[in-house]
Amino acid sequence: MIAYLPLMLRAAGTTLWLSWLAMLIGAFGGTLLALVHMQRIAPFRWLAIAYMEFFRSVPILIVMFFAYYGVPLVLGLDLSPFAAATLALALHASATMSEVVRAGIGSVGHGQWEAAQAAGFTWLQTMRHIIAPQALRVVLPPSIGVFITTLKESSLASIIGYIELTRTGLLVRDSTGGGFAPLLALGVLYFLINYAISQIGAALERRFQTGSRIETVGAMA
Amino acid sequence: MVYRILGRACAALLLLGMTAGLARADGILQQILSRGTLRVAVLPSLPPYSKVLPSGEPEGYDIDIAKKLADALKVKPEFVVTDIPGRITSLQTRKVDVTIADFTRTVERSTTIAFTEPYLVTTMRLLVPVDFKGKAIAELGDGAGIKIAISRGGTAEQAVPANLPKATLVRFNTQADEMSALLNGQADAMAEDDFYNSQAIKDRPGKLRQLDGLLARAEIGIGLPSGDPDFLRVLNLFVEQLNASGNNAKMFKQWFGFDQPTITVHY
Amino acid sequence: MNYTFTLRTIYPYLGELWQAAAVTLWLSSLAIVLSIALGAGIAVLRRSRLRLLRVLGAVYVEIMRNTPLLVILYVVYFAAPAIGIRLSSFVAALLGLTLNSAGYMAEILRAGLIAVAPGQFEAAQSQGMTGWQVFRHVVFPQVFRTIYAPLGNQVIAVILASSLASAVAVEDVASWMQTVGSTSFRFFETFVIAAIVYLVLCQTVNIARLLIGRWLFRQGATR
Repeated sequence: MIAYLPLMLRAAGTTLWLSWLAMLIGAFGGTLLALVHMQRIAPFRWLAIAYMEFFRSVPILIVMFFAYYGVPLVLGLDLSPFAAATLALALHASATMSEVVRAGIGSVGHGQWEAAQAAGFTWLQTMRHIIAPQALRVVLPPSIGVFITTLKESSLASIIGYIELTRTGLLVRDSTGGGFAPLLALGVLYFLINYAISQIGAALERRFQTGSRIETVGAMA
Repeated sequence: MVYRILGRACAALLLLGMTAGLARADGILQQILSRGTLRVAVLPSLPPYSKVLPSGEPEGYDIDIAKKLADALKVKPEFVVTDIPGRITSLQTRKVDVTIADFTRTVERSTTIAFTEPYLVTTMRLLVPVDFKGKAIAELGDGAGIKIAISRGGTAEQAVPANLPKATLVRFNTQADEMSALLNGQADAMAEDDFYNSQAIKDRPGKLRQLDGLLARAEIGIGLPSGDPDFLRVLNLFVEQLNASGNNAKMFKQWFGFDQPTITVHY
Repeated sequence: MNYTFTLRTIYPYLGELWQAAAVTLWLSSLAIVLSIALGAGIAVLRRSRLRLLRVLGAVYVEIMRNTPLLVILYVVYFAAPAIGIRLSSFVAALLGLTLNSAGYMAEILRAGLIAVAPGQFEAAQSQGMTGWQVFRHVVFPQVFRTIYAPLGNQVIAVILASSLASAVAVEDVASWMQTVGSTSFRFFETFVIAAIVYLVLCQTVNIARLLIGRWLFRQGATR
């Protein structure tokens, strides 16, 4: 078991990379979605809401299966297990992130929009120089929670055959005669990684005391 | 800012797309040759057929057959770890070129994918702990009250109910999970390949045994996507020569430790 | 690729789908109720006067919130027999879900308890209210209002998370999807049907929550 520890650590790196990439795409997607959601034109808003509600109501396991098997069947686009897992996690993360970003933008007082407009700022300039910097401080801490959720969700990539941390743990179990130590080691590794990240999140939260706080989003996965 | 974000999102998606390849219209054989790799779906934990080491490197009888096939085509093998249901879907979706994974050919499966001639003929039997009551499948009656671990979507889905209609099926995605449940007493028996069972008994001395009688006969072939007779022709020739040359028997002996039964319809 | 969407091959398996949906519903309902109870216990632990109990509660919450449910399920089902705890698939899945969800429930309930200003207990008691009356008329309404929205989210989270029970051989909707998909080879159809089942379950909870919330807290928003 000890001999396999370096392997599991390397697999932990794979899991981190997978979740980080998914989170990055999810953050951009979520921001985009939040901006669409804030438009005055109703159909845009409906579209954003439908997207969010869909991903809030369908298990990530199904999204992952769909990305891996469904997308090639229907679209003829062949995704590797890594790409499929990244896509599924990113789609899911973007739904959560859009709410975080929306709350972040909403936390900036309306008066500032008006003041910026009165000063002759365009929408883009207002967003870029006034709203975004303030919103970012509010958005960052709960994003850490979303990242942890994504990292935990990435364990499901093992089911579609991607060799990340969970799958490696199971393979180690199979290679070492089915003992329970590898499974416990898995739990410990995930805990250590996520706990470390959550501590970073807590530090950020302390540093960015902004008054308006979004509840740290962290979901069961 | 919106456009920049849009642009970045597109770039990210493109990046994702780059790791994927679009399914092309030309034959599979041509794709393999121009790609230089043969993509093979394998199971993670079915020793001695296949076993994926935690490093991701597979080894076993099926793996050696895949390497032989890749050699014959003068390309490199690329192994894609999958589970029982994934053996079919990964062919259906053209994620792999062939599946070499203790893959039983059935008419039902061949409506969706294609199979070569068999390189092995085996049987499905029941693996039980040594303290199991009963010696043969025939003694189990309709199987009421017996929990049997099977591979989800495997041939046991039909074979077990055909023999033991009242038995409870406990479905797992990999044989390692089934074995774990069997050893832990969370399943009373496990329906699996005779040769796998023999190895499992040998690996865990004094713990397991097989019941007499069989649930089904199984012809093991190489699976490939349907609709490509040219590729099937090549694979069939490969299997025919693998069997005739004695290479198959030699590899079998090396991995299983006993002589390969003759591949005939009457086995 | 020419994939034609056809439900005909799925029909024979629809009977099993209802059974599977019942399992999903039953498993998640039990897990929700049990995890509220366990979560309440831990929330109380975290407000205890004894430091040790507080730390214990905090450690439990951190472990459960930072470990993937899939790994917890594997440990409960495949590793626990090593110490003599041998559970059936359903019980193992229920235990895993409950333990995991309780970590979140505890935090939700704790936030609810914090929302009740400490002085109110004394104020209510000085009005001559009994312990039960204080709970019923002072504590409960405030706690309930604070936890209402996150509780609804957690209920949905448990329903979604119950889909992982298929990894330890529970025959739920996600298991139905994988089994039927690989026996009928109609994977896409089974994904769509399974997604619809979860969508309906979760949105029913979601809409019911909004309507009930609107009726309960007529003057305030719940989200």
